[in-house]
Amino acid sequence: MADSIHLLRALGLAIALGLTAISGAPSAAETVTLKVGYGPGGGFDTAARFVAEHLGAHLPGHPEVAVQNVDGAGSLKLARMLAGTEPKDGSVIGLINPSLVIATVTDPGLTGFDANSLNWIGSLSASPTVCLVGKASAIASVDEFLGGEFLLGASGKASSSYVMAALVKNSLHARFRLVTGFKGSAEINLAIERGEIEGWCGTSLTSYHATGAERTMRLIGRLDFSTSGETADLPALLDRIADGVDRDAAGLVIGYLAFQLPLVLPAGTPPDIVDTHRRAFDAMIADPAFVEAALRRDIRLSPKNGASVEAIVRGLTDASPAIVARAAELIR
Amino acid sequence: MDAWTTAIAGVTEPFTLLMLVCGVVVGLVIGVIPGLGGIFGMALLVPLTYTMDSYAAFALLLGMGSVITTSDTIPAVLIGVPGSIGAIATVEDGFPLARQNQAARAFGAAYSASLIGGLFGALVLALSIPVMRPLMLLLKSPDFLAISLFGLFFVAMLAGPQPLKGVIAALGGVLMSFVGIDDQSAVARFTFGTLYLWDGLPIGIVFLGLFGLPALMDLSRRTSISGATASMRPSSMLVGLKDTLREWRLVLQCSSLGSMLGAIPGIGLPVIEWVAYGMAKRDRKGGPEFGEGNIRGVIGPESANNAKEGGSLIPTIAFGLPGSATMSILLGAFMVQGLVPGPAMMTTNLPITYSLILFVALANILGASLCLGLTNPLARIALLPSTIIIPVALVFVTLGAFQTHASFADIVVLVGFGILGHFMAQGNWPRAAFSLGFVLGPSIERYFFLSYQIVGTDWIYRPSIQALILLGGAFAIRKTLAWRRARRAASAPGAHRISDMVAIALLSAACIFVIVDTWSMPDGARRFPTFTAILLLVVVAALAWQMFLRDRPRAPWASDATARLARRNETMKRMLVPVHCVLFASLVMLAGLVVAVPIFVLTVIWSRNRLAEQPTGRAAAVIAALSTTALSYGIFGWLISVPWPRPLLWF
Repeated sequence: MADSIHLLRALGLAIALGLTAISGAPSAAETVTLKVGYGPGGGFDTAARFVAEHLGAHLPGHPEVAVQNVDGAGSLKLARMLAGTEPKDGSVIGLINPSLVIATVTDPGLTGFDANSLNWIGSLSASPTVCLVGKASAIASVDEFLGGEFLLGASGKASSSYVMAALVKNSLHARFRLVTGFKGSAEINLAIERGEIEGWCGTSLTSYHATGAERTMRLIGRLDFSTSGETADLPALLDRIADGVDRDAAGLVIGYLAFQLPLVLPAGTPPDIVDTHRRAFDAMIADPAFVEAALRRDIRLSPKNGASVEAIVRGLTDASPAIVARAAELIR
Repeated sequence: MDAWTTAIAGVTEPFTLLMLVCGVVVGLVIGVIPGLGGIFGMALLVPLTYTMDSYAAFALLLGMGSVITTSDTIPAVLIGVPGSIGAIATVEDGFPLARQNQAARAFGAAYSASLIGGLFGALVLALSIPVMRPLMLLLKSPDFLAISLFGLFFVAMLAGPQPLKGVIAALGGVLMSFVGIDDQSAVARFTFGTLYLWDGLPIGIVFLGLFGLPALMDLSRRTSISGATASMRPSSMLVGLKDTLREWRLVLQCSSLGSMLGAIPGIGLPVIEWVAYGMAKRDRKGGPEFGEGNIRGVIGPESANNAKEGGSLIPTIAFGLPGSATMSILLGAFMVQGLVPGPAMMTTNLPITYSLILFVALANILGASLCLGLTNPLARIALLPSTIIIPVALVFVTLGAFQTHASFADIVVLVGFGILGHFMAQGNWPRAAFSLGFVLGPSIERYFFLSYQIVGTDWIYRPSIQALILLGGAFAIRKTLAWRRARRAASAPGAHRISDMVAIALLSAACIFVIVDTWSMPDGARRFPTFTAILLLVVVAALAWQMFLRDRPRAPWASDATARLARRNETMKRMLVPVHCVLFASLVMLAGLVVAVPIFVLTVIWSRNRLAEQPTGRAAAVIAALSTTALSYGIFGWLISVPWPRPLLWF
């Protein structure tokens, strides 16, 4: 009996401690959680932690912004959570892979969420994507790149390295063959250095400079339709697409490159909360301290505000069925 | 020489040394807690390094990363639960040593082997600086395929008395490794419509379940780990140290192996551990049988796993190619520090590269010294009643698994593999072979397809592949002859167990399911699983023939009803551990961490109804509950930001 009383006391103490701890936990107003759809390390996680250091200062009440990794299925797990179960009071922000937007168009059954239901706060980057070959390669021009029989490296078939190379190959009838299965860009670069493959597509210009690839790789062309910016001197590969439908389909495939590292609020978040977060984002990217910190960390900013991202997403998801079908064929 | 001077000056800065000590302490703590590992530690510490200089940042990160495989020995030896995936082989003989009241000896041997291994790894890293890039460029995709296949040969070393069971376990591991999205075709394989399985079965939880839960299940029928009540003898630790020095050849062999395999991406710690264990197992040197407390079974894996850190830094530094998941996060820290892996690390940033070597060496010295100093007090844990150890260990095992994705599916995987591990251990199906298959399966598939796409069928003519075929052939013939000799020498076959029959039936059904399920998949996704399933089916059929036709025993079934009943009762008692695991996870989801932990710990202790009879039992139970609550909340609730589901009761 005495044992039971002691145990009950212990349980009571534990419950009291627990409730105290829970009641003492910061409320939603004091903490904002920035959930990133990838594991620790890597570009998405680094960007999330960088934003977490700065965003709170621009939100009302200056909340602490804590990063949580919600790793799974290339951030689709988090995207689905944001479209469904996450709180809609502004206490949770997500950072997901924008290529999911294209996937919702080309394969809606697989992704299972509506990109337009999410509330886009803004995006940090829009680095151009390029194709490159090893410096030891004999390929030096776009014509040689498109006409030569050689091997290009790629990761999995859902990766940007495969999607971009397939887009070039199918839309421009290039003769290179794709080798899939490499684990990331470092392994592809190593395979190029040891002469197993000639090059690859789908890396950003930022990565090209940041990883020192410029020492061993040669740029062949870019994958965008822009006529200005830091890649204006590079040949625009997709400009060679003559067919109108193919051009539109290619535009759809590369559409997500315009809003890299996007921040989103869950579906169903009230408009006033969305506006507050968008204003905070705009203030953050205009803050000289943020810009200077980004330079120090070698993060190349090319931000877009929430309204612009929302418009791009709507444009992509409103593509005609014919364009969507052709886009799916081009990246097969 | 200038670069070394600059490196030494950077390393010996007081703040840098302080960060090294902090990193080592964090690493030791992470190593002790089952379910946490290097990835967790890196995620925790990398954000802190953003504002530090390069030397202090790498001191903190490498200090942490270098010693996890030193302290993960503590739970492996004391309770049979590996602290990280780097200690799964250490359990095999470390835990039996603790049961024999020789925990201090096991620790002495493990820490000294870890120290020598760690220093050896640092030395290999230092010596390889001038040649690491040309050497790595020499290796092509077929060579990596050969190395991965070579790892599978060690299944033969680990197969135990029934080699076919070893092969079946390995192929089963390979099949399990195919769960997830296939990179070749972007098709989901065996995910059963769940998003959770897209990234495959989480390796940390699989091994925690396979090796950790069965150890706790086994412990549940003992009063304490070490049946003895006598205090630990300090001299035992010295015995362990002397064991390591006596086995210096094994230490150097396994250290070389650890640092070399560590440099190969895709060859994970479990493979290195088991290959080293296999090397140690070649000769028991007059000690007890392996698995019953042979000290070589502790020394081999421990010298290999610490040497790995130096090895896995080689591709990271030379090419920015992470040798492990932990290294991929470290790579992020390189970028934040403005360091670009590649030739610059051998020229302009050479002092930083040298400092990495010094950090690995210093961290190993510091980590091993701290652990050696704590050996005797820690070894006393083996004398604690199992009624306390089981709930406390279950809390950390469950939370460690749960923090992976903060999903209940983590618990399902943990418990599922826990039960699988239990039955494998009971039925002599080697879990080590399963581990090798599970880790190497994806590498073999990936390097095969890469080789085939790049050079077609010419990959077969690569010297490394041909050497492997010759080596494998010779090895297989030798082992088969040894097994035949052993079988002739053995007495008549014993009675078959119903569990073997059930296992054969389940495996056959699983193989048929895989063949049918992959039928409509694209070629790239189908080939390997179908091939593995057919091979597995053939080996299962061979085992069935061997057991039921060739070695037909007089009594085909273990028919002693009393023995069967006793075994069933025993199994039911052990099954309480996975049940507790599920109940605890449910309680966490219902009431939150801080409430669930003390209630669970106290209830489990109370339900065992033994401790309360002792006068000090109540106090010990309350202390255990409160300290477990504080520690678990400190780590999982405060220190890291795990996206726990909101407790249902309070929201």
